[in-house]
Amino acid sequence: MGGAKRGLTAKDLERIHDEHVTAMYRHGLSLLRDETAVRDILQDVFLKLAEGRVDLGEKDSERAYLLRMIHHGALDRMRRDKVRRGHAEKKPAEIFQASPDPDREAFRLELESALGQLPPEQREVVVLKLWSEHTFDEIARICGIPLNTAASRYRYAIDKLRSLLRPAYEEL
Amino acid sequence: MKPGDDREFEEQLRGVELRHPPEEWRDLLLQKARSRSLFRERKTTPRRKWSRRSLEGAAVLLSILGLGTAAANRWAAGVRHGAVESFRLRGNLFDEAKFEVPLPPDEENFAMLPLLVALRKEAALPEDLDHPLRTRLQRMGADERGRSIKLPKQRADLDLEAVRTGLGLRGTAAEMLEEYDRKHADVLNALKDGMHRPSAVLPPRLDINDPENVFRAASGGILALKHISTGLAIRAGLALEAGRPEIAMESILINRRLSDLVMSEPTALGQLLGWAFDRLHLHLLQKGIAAGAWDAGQLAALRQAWTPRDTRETVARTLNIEGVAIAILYDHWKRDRRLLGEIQGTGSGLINELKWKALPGFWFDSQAAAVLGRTEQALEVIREEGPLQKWWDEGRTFSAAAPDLLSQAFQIEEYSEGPLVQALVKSGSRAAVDDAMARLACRLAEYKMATGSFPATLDSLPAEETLDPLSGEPFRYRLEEGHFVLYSIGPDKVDEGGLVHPKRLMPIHDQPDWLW
Repeated sequence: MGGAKRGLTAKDLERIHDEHVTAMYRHGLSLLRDETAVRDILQDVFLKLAEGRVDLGEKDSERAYLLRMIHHGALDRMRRDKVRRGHAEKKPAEIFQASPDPDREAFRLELESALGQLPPEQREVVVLKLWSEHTFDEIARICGIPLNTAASRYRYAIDKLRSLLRPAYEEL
Repeated sequence: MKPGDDREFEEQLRGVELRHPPEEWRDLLLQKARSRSLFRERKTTPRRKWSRRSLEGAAVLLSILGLGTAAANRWAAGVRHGAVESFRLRGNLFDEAKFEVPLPPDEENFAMLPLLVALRKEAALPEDLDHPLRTRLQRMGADERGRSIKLPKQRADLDLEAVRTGLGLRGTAAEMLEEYDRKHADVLNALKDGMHRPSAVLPPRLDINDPENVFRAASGGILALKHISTGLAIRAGLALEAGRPEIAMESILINRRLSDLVMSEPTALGQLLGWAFDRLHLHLLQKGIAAGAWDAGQLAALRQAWTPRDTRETVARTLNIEGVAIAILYDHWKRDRRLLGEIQGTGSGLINELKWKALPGFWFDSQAAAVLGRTEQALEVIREEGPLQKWWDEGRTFSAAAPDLLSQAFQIEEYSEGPLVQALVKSGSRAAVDDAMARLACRLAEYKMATGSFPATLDSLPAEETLDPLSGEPFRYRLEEGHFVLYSIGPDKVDEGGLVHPKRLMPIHDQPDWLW
């Protein structure tokens, strides 16, 4: 792969996109819950790659590096959006795929709502752990936090989700 | 649904699938990125990359070549130095650049006869000038066009008609002899006068430290002496035909002195020429002995003239100086590549000049070292005591070197000592055998004079006088119809009864048996 000074070839960019964009999208969405914002961040990341402003290093740590870029991009975006708060907040984008099964769809909607009530940092960790199946070590590197912090955020998130989803279980 | 324990809860949550990014985002994300990519797939890039890499590669290659050549030069110089030291340590001469032989006083030196001094002076003149003395001597054995009179071989008679027409002589053998002596009285008298001088040593003319001299060294007039040798052979033949054996003997003895003279020249030219002079007159000696032409005193004088020469030392000395001269020639060529171009016959011109200059220094040093090494090996064999058969058996020691890769790449005809050594060994050993047979033949004739017939076997003679220097064994000998057959079985070590191949152009040393 090209170094930071040289940029990546078109072929490299395509490969990175095809291998990692889904994970990047989901991670960004879990933090921002705004598809437009996620798209902007993704575009920003790919431009940086094309211009050679980042060095992805070894291939086996590409995913972690890219997710970390999404993490930082999302945090920057959230800080900027915090300043601009006052405008009407649009409806958060959904993280999960709709299901044709009514019961599952009902659960999904409850889950969307429950996740939305988690702090972004807990939501990020639980999505990375449960759905993206990263280890706590990887999560710690992506989020830039100690491993124990990653584990404890996950614990809190699970407990919170369980309590938020109890009525849903009882109903279903 | 039930939340269950943590694991079950987690499994339930995982059952809800996360969304995928919209497909249309692919083009959106990549298009802009592609346009910003610094890695443009334009046509010039591969060429620039290729040309830059080629230049880098060429620079690296040149550096490696330069370093490699410098290292090879240093190594080869060391090898050459080692070869010189080894050469010296084996007792061979190297520093004695001129290989000078002490000169006797002029009045004792046959070489300082005014005639021969004048001949050498004339030989130093450029070829485009007249050489009247050389032309004069040429007429002793050649016709007006310079064609030598054909001399008979192996006891055949002199072609008197060829002598008449070629030299413009008339009458019988006796009349032609008288006319010949009149025509060439000045030369013959000068040579006869010189016969009382005990030594025959040419002044040194070869300076191997002078690059112009060592390569272009003219024969110094010694080649012109072959005309005298031819003339003396004709004179001796006429004398035997005319019943004047004393004149024949005189001619043969003068020729032997001429042979001594040219062999005092330390180069291969001198030795090969001297042996050729002897060979030219050998049949006259054979004819005279077979005819009983000489009395006991004359036979003793002839036998005395054929006192054994130290062929081993002669060949070794010659090979020493020739090997050193060739090695030093490479030093001269290394310093002045123009000389290399001259010997290769390519002439001057920019391309040839560049070609010779491009030849790395280590090639010259390695060639010189190789020549010295092979010369040293050959000298060890030459100097070893024992029969000369060993020179033939160790033939591969004297082979010419196979051309190396650089020589082939630069199309260089290598200057090697190999052919020279072969010539010295073969001609030298044949000459040594001929000399020994000549002495023995004279002794056999003396025996017959004393007893009335040749001996039945060689056992009647002192053993040391019957030994073949080639084999170390006695010569083969038998009587046939009142004459003797005397021969060496030759280097093939097969006794073929004195067989002489009828093929005229076969070199004398390649004959199956070496016949007297």
